[in-house]
Amino acid sequence: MKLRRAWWRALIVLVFLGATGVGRAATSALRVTLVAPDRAAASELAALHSALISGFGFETVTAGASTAGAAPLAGALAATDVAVFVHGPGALDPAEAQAVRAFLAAGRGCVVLGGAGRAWPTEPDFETQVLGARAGGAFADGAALTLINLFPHPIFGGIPQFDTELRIPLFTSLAEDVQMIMEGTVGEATAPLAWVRRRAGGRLVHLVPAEARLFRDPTYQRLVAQAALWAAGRPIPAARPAVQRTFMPEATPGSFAITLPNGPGLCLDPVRGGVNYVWEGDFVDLRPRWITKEGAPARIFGEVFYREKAWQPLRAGAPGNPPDFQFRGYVLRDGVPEFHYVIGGRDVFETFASGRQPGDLLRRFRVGPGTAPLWLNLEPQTDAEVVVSGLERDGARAVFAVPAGGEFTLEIRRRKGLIP
Amino acid sequence: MSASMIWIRMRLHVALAVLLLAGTSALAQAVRLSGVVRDADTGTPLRNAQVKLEGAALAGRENSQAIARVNAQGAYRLEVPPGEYQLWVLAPDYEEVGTRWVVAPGQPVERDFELGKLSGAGVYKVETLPLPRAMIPEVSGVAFTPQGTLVVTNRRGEVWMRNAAGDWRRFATGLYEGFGLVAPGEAEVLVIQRPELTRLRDSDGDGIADRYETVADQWGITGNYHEFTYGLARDGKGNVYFGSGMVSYGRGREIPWARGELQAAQYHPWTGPGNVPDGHRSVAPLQGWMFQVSAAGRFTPFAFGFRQPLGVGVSPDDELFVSDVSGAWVPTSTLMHVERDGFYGHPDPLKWHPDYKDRKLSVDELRALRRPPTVYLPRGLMGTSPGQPVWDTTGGRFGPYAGQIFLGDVTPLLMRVDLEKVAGVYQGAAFPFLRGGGLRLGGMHNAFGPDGALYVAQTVRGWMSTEGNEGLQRVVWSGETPVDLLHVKLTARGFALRYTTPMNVSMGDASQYQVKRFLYNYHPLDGSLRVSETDVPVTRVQASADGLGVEVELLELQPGFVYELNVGRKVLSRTGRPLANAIAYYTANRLLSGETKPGPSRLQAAAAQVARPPDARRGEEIFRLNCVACHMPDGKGSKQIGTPDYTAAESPLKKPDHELLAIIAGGKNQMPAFGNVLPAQSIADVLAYLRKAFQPPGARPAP
Repeated sequence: MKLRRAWWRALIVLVFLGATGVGRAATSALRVTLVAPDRAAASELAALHSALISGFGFETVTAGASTAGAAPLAGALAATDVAVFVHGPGALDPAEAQAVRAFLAAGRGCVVLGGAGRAWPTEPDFETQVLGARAGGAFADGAALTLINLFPHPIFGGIPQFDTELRIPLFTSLAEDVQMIMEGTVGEATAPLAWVRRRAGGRLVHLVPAEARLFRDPTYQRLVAQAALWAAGRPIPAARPAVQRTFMPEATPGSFAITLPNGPGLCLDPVRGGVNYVWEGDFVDLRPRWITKEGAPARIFGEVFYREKAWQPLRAGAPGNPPDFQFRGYVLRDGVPEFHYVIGGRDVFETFASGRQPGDLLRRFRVGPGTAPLWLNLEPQTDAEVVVSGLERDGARAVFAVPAGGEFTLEIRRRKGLIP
Repeated sequence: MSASMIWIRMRLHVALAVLLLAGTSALAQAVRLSGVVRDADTGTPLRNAQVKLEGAALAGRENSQAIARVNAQGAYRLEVPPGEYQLWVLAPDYEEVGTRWVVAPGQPVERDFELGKLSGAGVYKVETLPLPRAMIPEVSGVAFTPQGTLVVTNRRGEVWMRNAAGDWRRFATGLYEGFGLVAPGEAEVLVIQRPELTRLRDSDGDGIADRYETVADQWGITGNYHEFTYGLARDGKGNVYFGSGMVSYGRGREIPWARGELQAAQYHPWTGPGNVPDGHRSVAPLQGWMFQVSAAGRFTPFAFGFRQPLGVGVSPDDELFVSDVSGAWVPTSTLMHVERDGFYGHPDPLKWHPDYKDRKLSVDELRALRRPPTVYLPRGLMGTSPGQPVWDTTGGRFGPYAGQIFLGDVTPLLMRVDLEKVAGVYQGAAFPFLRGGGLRLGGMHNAFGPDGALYVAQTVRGWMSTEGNEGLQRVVWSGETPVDLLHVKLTARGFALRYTTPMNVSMGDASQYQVKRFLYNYHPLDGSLRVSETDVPVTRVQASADGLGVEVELLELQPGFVYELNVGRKVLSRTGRPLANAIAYYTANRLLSGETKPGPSRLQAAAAQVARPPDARRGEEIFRLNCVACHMPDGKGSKQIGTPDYTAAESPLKKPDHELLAIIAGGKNQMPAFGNVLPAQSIADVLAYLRKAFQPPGARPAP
């Protein structure tokens, strides 16, 4: 029974996706629908609407309820990659309400600007079910923010800082799967200003600040554009890998949390000398480490699909030789880190990139000259396969034996396929 | 067993007894203390005062202290066991109250305090620097490039630079809790992060670091929350210095993923009762060591025996100074001149020393090996966790203190240290410098800027309320000469004081100088109370004609003590202004002769005068406060502790008075000397009580 229901649901989604053209080539223009709750809000969106077209090349329409005088909502939603709800759709007739509900259930890209339950009268559980939070009054009684902190996330690619003097609504009771990406502070108190969430198989972004003045702000326009790209699963051109040394679970203190703009995330342990694990998803939540005195390890969002534990998988001379690994730091080349190790006296440089599929990890090694061959000990994986290139594979081992140096790669491919 | 071991064990047993009392009947009898702290002039309640008590009865608590912050109405409330305490009432911008408080069992006590305003306001101004809204203001390190660019790091792992126009840019990100830095150039910053010393370079000239080079990471780490790496200071040869603190073992997280082989067992195991009083432990390799990295990148474990070497500084003469934080084996916070291969007190780091790791040195051997602190920073007025020492090299742009040391604290305090070499070794005086004026908490890293101001990096995140207590401030001199004690130097018979400005005739009045001295115990308990504290009579004062200098001669000058000098209120500048700070603490490790061991004391003899007949009733109170923990309320003593049964046939009370008085005053076996703690009259009163309450019938003392 359950199986039949799942199959039926999958069929509906497939039909819907087929009808809407989701899955079009990532190079095609992103189709964005701005949804305003009323005519006044729709007019406030003009600058944002224009910027998404002229600045980012999106196919953009502003739609709304039949009472809002904008483009028909149901049709626009059916043909869009990402919907950007400004506060919410407002009062809807039953057909429009059904279209919005179908859109949210289909796991399509969704960006909400200044989400408010009152703007979703036909979805009474919008805040808890969709946003994953509860709104309640103004943060710090409307006092000006003393800090605005952007956490590492592709959405902020090329945006060093976002600023606003606006009164900030306070959201609390964030759901477990909500990942905060922007935080505001007044004195001792903090409040979420933006977060991302993966729900119903799709991606959701919520930017709490949302007022007419911001819609004309180029930084905010870029923020919305990049939020739309991320929600659609499209690459963000300005995004760079996020790199943070911190206290990671199941890793030596001071390991690196690294996420690539299109995934995955990985934990590089400079003491053990390898990638302890790879997860599918976004950057880690560092607040457990930062907020308290006895900070807990960073929190990982997403499923881990690759692990290795043996001490120093890359060894010089022979695969069983004693570990001899020195971490020498890293260089950022256009924001992409290249890590430097010395293994048995031989210089080794490593960079990370997305693999064949965006959620896969490509480890690219550059090896300096040296007579000692480099042996790679591979650990069996259940959720990933490891494809080596430029190495001579020998069962669970592989060797690089080029005295002049050269390159080899390891691609860690997830077996289960991607989480959208 | 050595005398030191006996002493240690005795302390432990006292602690046990106190803890037991605290945990049982005494806790039930805890006395509530309450009251209001007010401005002495206006009567207005002070909203940011704290009341601090420390005493043996609080041995089970951190630093043997109980601290209460007043509420919005200036009211405080504390509950402590009966006992004898050192009391401090402190508030920014106000003079402290520091006194003894004997808390008797029974009814709650209400006691209000009035604090007078500190003088000297306005001579030094504290300014808060605006920071970019994108910078989490947990500023944990500050430095200047040779060109004068301000560089800071923060706990969130960023490095920021501010150019001459005041524009900030984020130079680096992604570090694991930046904590101290030096900036050799506009494109190069050396920064401490928890796991390593890192060199950041901007190699492409875009103003942003693109190279993060690991310079040193040869010590162990476990992930414990208290596992800080401290620094950074650089000498004229390009050597940099930093240190590794110990973990707070058993508190917080230790994870199986560690760098280095772990050794959790203590080097000098705790043999006392209950839990280890101070859990700080060198668990991973080289924790509790200072390190040197040469300009060529050579890593050298430099010195050892540090608990939490929070402040690291290099003098203009390229000498290393380090502050350490009060706890086990560090009786109160200290500033130390650190030399290569020196041992500075905490035994646990000896685990990693090739010569000592297997020797298990005794306490006597540790004491002999230990280099005493250059300057003690006495608890109470002189903060709790001292920060980075920096030298006034501003050429007079920071006032008259050229060449002296300034260091901050986790509390809102700046301290000043005036060193001298005595018999070839540094020692000197510590002074409170700035208490208030808007100075915030958490100022553990400092740097003098090209403008002559002292910049203070501040963060307390996770440790206390952060509101308004993070960021970056600078202390600017107004140009007006402060009225202050400029120098306190040791002489053959006392101290030579020098003021910053000519003082009035009262500076030559001996009654205006009060001096006391005390010791600290070097032991595994969590810090030490003052012991053998006694007044030292001032016998002669000779003021210089220019009104700047005064020679203060003492009845007795002994090495090994900390001397507390207080200047009276009548000593004013010739323009009528009072002293901004009238107190100094001089650590007299040695005399001008080079003597380091105290000789026979005339002060004990002077104290041995009994003015009235002994009073057993008063003696009972003294016994209860000072003796009952070991001798028990019924006088039967304790075999476990090793105290005798006064009521037994072989009672020590069979001894004559003069012998018993000498034992109480001078100590015997495990019992400490009370001669410098209790006046002779009190000792006589106690003996009267012992005889009245416990002397067995027929046990007449021998003549």
